[in-house]
Amino acid sequence: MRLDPDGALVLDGEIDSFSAGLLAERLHVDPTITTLDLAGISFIDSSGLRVLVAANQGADGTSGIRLRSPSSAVQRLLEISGLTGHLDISA
Amino acid sequence: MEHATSADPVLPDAVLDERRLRLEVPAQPSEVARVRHAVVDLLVRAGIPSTVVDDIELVVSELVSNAVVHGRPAPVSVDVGIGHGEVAVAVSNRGSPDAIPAVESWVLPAPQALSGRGLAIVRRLSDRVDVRGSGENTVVVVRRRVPGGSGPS
Repeated sequence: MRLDPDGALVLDGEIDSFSAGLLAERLHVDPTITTLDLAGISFIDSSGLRVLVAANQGADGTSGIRLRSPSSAVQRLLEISGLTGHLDISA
Repeated sequence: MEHATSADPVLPDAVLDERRLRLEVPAQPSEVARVRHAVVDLLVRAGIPSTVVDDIELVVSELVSNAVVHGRPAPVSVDVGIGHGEVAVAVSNRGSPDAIPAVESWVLPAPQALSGRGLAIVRRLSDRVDVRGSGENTVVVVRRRVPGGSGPS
């Protein structure tokens, strides 16, 4: 995870039930994060998806975090989960 | 395992090993990735098409996470077998099978829902799901057909 000066937390690697917990914790304690950059995510499961949906909705103590640049792994999971078009995600 | 039966002594045991995997891991979230990577490695080496590998990777992640989070704090075992034109995955953990809802109810929640997608994803990506077990042990068995056979034998 790398936090860019523009407030984008750049994620890479795999998000499963273990790493999703770490990500949720980070989002909870750092209000300067405005965006999650998803381009580098190589794998994500429903645990990771839960964090993205919550962040996007401003749930779980976050305040409406934008999502951007979903990798193919993220796009695929959104499709399987019937969420394509339901989250606020920019290219 | 259509070509690798006990009636075929020409085939070395190593071939059998390349198409099966059994792992037992502690019930900790940090172990889920290790299982996932081992399963993907087996499927790729067996020549399984990448679309199927990706689906099984997700299924394994969901089932092992579930076992780790909802099962008792006892080891979780994962068995993978390739053959008969399919990949079969069995995930076992201590705990009553009654703790798992009926497979028919494994459906996606509303888009706004935060959780409840894991088992629905497993069902969507599988051709067949069976939940078995006794009062003390739960086994979820998932089968996924492999297009064009079960890969090179």
